[in-house]
Amino acid sequence: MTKDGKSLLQSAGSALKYLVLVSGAFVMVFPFIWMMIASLMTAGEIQMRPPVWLPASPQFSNYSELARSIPIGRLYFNSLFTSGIIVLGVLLSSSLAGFAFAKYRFPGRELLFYLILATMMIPFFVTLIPVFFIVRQLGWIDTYQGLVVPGLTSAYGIFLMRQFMVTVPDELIDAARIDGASEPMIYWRIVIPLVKPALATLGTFTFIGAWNNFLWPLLVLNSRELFTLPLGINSLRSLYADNTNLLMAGTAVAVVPMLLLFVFLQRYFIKGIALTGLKG
Amino acid sequence: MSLKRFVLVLLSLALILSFGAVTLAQDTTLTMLTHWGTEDQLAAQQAIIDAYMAEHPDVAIELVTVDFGELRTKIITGRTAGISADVYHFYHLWLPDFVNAGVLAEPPQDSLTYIDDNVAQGTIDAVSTPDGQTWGYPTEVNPYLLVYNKRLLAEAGYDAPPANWDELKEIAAAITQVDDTGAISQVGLGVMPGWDSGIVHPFSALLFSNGGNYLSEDRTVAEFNSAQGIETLQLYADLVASGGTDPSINGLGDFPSGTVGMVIMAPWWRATLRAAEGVDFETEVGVAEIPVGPSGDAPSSIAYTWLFAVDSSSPNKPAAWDFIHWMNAEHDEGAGSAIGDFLVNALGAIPSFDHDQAAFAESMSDHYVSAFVAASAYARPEQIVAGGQEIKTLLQVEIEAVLAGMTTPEDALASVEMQANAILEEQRMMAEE
Amino acid sequence: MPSPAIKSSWWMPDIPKSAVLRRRMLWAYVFVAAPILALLVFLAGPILFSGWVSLHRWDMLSPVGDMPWRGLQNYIFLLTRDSIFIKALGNTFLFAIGGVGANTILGLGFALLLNSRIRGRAVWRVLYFMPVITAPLALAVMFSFIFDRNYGVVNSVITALGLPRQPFLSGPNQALMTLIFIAIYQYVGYYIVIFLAGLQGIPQDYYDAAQVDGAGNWQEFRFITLPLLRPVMLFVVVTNTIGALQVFDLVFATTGGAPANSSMTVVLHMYNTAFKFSRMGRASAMAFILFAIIMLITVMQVRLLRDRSYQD
Repeated sequence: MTKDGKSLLQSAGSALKYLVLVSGAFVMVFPFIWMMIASLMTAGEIQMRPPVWLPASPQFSNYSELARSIPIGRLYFNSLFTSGIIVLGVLLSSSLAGFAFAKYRFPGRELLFYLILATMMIPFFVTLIPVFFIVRQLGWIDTYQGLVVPGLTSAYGIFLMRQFMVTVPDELIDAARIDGASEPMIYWRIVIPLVKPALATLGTFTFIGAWNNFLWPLLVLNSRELFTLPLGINSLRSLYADNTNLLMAGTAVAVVPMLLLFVFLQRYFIKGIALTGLKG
Repeated sequence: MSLKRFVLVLLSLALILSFGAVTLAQDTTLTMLTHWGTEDQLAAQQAIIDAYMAEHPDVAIELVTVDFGELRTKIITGRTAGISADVYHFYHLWLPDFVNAGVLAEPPQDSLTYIDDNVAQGTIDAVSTPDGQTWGYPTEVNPYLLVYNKRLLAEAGYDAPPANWDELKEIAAAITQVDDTGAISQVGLGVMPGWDSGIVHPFSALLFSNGGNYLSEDRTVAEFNSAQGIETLQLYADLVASGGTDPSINGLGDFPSGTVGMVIMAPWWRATLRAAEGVDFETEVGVAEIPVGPSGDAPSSIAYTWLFAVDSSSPNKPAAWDFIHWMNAEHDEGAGSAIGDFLVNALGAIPSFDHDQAAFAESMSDHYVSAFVAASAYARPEQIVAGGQEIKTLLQVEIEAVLAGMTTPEDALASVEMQANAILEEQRMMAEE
Repeated sequence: MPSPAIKSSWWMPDIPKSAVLRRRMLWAYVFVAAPILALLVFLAGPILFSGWVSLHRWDMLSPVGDMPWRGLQNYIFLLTRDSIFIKALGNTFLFAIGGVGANTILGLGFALLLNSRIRGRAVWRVLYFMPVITAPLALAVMFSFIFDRNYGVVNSVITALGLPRQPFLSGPNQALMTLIFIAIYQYVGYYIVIFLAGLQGIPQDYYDAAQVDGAGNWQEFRFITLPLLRPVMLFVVVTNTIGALQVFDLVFATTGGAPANSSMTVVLHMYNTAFKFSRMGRASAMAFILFAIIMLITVMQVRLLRDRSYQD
């Protein structure tokens, strides 16, 4: 094969690569774009056949109508607030327990750790009804506590943190002890800084999970004042069953800010997610 | 932004938010749970509540609404959680389950007398358990009729709606159009898969118009697996075979766009049809009685009901019943009740109380709702029984399977009958335990 | 993954001799106390309670003490007479097989593409990752519209090309397929990122050495990439399977299991059984059967995919 032929083949191959990547990316992005376009159509344009690809004039009024019928700010506040608390809780509880499991020897450690490994496998639905029952006994139905507290610890989180903390050299910890550091100080000053990437990972994971959670809030919350975004979208489904344009506007309002946040913070998101695949 | 700063921002955000959090004080005396959640419906209900509170300054009423799909779950979970509403508005099919579990309070005697004096017996039965106990104030009564698109029928060469099943099959097949892509662009009879009532209620209306029964008179045995029942499902199979219906086209969503010839539906559809762009409500929407089957001799139909009832654990039962009574009673001669006004004018449904039917006759005199008012005189109330929701769902699934060509009418009904009778039997044994 | 820190067997507690070590031990208990307590209350306790309920009939409305005992009847009913459960189980398996298979192949394929010499790797990654962080409920709403039989954009394109209109989510033979597609769409970006990280963790020396030996691209993939990716592959397949077997939101908000249960899944049927039919006992039994299946499949996958020669 001549040199020219080979480079031709190479550039053809690389063109093919980009073609595959572009078409894949198109499939990924198109639903979001179509959602935005449809959210600016009139109800008539949505039902037109043959279809209309762009609204004759963008109906921004769809968004103001949406703002009148659902409390968007409230939904955002509830989602951010509850997800934030859950993230903090999971980070703290997982790192503390993970630290103990990784760096201390104490009777019952293995038993407890195997218990955690076993519960990690349990489908969430097995515990759904009893947890609902417990939350009810605590009088927490239809409260933020009821939504948040059962999610403050995570067996997976403890497992993940332990896996990372095992790699922290014992020499560092022993050296700190010789310098007179207390055990909590070792946790906070030595170990936590070393496992920051893992914390970011766990935090990201937990945040996405809490932010998108649907079934649990659906059961625990009754008052619209406490609704999170997925519950808001769910009410829109029946409210706007005949107004797809408004339904799309509502979904866009719920989804787009999170996407923007992701674009800005994508390095941390992706670095973190990638880590779990290697450590899990 | 460094990782440190990211975490810091996240931390401070959560902190700020936690300070901003407010716990919601619940100092109201009565909570009412309904599924009427659209903006207009909320405003209309709030107006009723405000009027009551103006007259009764010592009572505060809070309105909670959930979507229909979550209403039953909310009543059950709220009850389990000990935070149940005082006043419920719910679908009467769930009544026996709620009664068995002790969820509902018995109405006071004067309420029962008032209901007896002002509501038709069939509707009272629909909100009573088989032992004859009435559990609340019935609200909307929704019979089913054949709603059809006059333009599509005329284009297919028919100037009258079908009166019997042969005509139904003929007209449905004639309306269906397959476009040049080989796809159905227009369908004769629209069905409503994925929605239990949307499947089971039209089936029941056809079954009754074919001389069949759903359950036995005493509601202890399923009777839909009869010759009449099999004929009814065979009608579905025939319609699918001739192209007269297609389960992938949803009558509920597509009739308003003018691509469905006929749908068996309820009166409250009026608001949607009035706003429809593909079909003109005044000139193109027709309503006819359910076509009569080969084994039937007259059109019949099914009607379902909703009711207001009071939670048995409510600390304010007398106040709750007083509020319900106030909403449903007529205060000025000939003016109708607040709920009657709401049902008729906001929903397009038919009210249960005689005084509302009289007071709002004018609003129900349009060509659409008036036909349903006439049908409510003879429509058979949906039979309610413990486990009724489960039986209904099982039947829905089998009817959908027939529509999808996945089973035969005989197998479908035999399978549901067996399961339904097992459920009825189990409920009977539970009651004895 | 073997855990080097756990050496003594779990039934043999080793209590340290020195006072310093015992103090340290106390700190460990302080650290684990709250998380373990929370796990007991919200995880371990509920599992036991659920198991107890699964042996009863309970409508959730009657007091817990009054639940009538049913023994194994709930389990027997589910496995022999609940036709919806059997159907849902089959659908859920198909959903998992389709989703996991496609996500593994596509995830690895795109990761290989992105790992080769390519411009704008970060941008591609972001684009593919967008659905991962979007609420499944929002995706369900978007795709219900996109795949609508009448007004959906996919059907607009299909019919413009002269092909017949498809029912997608409303078709008994297509609903499940469409849901699988949406699930792939949703998670493939996640697995691309995981595979990509795995690929980038393979030392370049291996490839350099292989090139010296005259290995081609395929041989490099077959004898270096694939074996070294095994742990990542295991992670992807196991987590994806566990997730797919529990799918709920997506089905709940698109088809609700229709038409004729052709897209009914186990967890959705569980939800209906519990909250629509008020049968907590049967729903709990369903949860345990699903749990047993997940355990079994996970163990099988770990056995199959674990490479014994792989050094931890």
